Amino acid sequence: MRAVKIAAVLLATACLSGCTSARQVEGIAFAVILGADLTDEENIELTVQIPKIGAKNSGEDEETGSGNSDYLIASARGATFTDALMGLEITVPRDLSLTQVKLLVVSEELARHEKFYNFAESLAKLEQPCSSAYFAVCQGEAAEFVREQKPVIGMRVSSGIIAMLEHHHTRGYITGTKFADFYYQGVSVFSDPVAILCATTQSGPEEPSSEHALDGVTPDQVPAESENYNEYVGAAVFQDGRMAGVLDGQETCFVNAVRGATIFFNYSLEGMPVSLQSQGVRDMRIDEDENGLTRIAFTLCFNVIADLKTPSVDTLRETLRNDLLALLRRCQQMGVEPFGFAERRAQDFVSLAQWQRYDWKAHFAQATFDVDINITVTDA
Amino acid sequence: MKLTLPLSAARPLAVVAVSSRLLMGLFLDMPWLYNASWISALGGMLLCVPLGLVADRFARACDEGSVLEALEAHSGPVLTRGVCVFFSLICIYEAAVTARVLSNTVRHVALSESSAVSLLLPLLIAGMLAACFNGQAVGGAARVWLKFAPVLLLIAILIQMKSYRFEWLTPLLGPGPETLATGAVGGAGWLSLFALIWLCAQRDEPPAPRSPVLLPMLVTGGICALLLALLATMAPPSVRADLTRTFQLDKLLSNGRASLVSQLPLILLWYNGLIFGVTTGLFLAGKLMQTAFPRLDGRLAILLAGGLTFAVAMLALAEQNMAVSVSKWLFIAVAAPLAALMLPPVWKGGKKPCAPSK
Repeated sequence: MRAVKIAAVLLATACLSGCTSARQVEGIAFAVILGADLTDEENIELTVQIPKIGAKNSGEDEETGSGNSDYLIASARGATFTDALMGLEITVPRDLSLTQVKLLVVSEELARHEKFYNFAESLAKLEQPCSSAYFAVCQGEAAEFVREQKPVIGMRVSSGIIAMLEHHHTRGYITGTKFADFYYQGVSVFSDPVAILCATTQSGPEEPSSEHALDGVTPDQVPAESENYNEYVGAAVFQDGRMAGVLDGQETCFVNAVRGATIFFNYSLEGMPVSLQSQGVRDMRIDEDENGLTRIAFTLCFNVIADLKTPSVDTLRETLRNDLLALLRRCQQMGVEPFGFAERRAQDFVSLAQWQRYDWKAHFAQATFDVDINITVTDA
Repeated sequence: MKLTLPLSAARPLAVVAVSSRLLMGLFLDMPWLYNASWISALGGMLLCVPLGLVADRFARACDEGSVLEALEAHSGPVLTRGVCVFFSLICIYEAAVTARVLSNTVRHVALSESSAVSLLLPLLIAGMLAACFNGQAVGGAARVWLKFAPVLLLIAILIQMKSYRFEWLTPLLGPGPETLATGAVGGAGWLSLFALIWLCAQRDEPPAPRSPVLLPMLVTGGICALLLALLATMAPPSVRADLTRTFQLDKLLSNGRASLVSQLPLILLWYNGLIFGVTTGLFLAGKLMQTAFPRLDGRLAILLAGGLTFAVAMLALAEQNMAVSVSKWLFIAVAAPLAALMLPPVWKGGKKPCAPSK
């Protein structure tokens, strides 16, 4: 009887899905970058970069164009994201998986198109989603950007992307937005979502456009050249399911600072370089004045690191304040609010229905600002 | 084989099974509660207080033996057995709903192309095999699991530490008081399954604990409310999205921001919680069937429960919409018969001794 029981249990294991339906790694093509473009006929074009299993670094082959790269680049087109994905599954000679995608790049043309919201929703609701990937908007073609993303400093693309974006985010000129952050913010009723801004440029302008290192700098305007053609600076801001505008590197630093991220960035004060470290926001108050206009008051805190010479704190405070106010007004004009003020204001409401009736966007567009900058000078 | 569940084993089993069912119900099946689902959990807990008090009063009245046998002695076998059949059907339905979510989890995490049958069948076979080892084994496993679970939970919380933003808990009442009240009724229904587990238990440890039902029920509800509040701080309320079970499952397991691999502790917690949910449902259904039909062998009862659970899980009956509709009546369905059976002896003074355990 015991033998029968054991045999029955062993037979039952035959229907265990983990044993019979498991997919082996060799049978899966893991994409590390996914790019999406809008074609001339307003279809979606998807491009993926897939590392080849067992491939060795063969930069020479890439240069000679022999096609023996460590990475497979594949593209497919379709009327929707799902159709294009099906095309990719046909052309990639393995079971295509997007679960290990590290970077999602969407062309600016697609991001500004009405198809974008459906595209984002399809991406968010994939059976096995890639929401943990960083999310960027590319000024230019996303397909070219995917092709140009190479491990220039001797790292695998998948590790290199994470190291690179973490570095850029610490310096403040990009937001560390992952697709999940972007999508959750986009379908919420709070502040508007932002994405990383990027572009492929072989050479930037000869001379900088401003005395501030990041002022006016977008990825296609970086005054620098290297083997790396893909640049990441600035942010793309979204409203109502599509891209509404672009913030340059310096503006992105301020957005990050107001949103509470600790960032280090260089600022130029009357030609003198100043190292700033953001320390968050304090004393935030959002209320209505006697005319019913929304008043947003807060203190943005910075540490100033006195590297070469201690800057004039009063002048620095005033310059920073003016730059921040200019950014706030620019966002009002664009109709976007990427700062996180909505979350703060929503605390004064009891239910989501009440909050939605309040119409935050209309109030923000008319808001006045009372901004103070707190500066602490430190030697480290 | 007689199915037995010692009270000392029933408590950890109830905590594990009911907490996973409550989290599943309020987070996956009722996404429209948004970031205020924790308030519904607390509301459900409050609704369950009278049921817990009555159960405790009844338990104090019968210091030893099986609760079911005591009820049979007070209310007569026909009524008690009829109620047992009804409760058995509830357990089968709840096990089927849990098994379906469990198979969804497996599909989401690894096996997207497998059929529902091949995902459900192994899970139910595992549940039935575990239940056949009887209540002491299932409850003992839950007790061991409860020692590991807090550590895994701590790791899962630490992994996502940077994602928590407490302002996302506001507006405090989320979708509004009416929707939250519906959620609280559903929550109370799932929390009241605690009473069914206690109903199938029998004393094995003198002296009896002061509060065998109410206190553990409140603790479970409180822990779930805390976890739901923590989940709510991980993403703003997705008011403009169509919140499917798969979308919610991904939000629960990976929060979208971490790859599934780095969320392994959370997946283990979730998967094991649901496995205990299915096993408990099968065991309770079998035990209640055996009480209704005393000549029924325990193994056969569990096999029967497993077969019915599989059938229900394969039908649209176990899908989200139906599960939510049923949840509106679950609390009444559990609490009303229990109150009807337990209140008369409690009002009489409740001094009649319980039937001895066989």
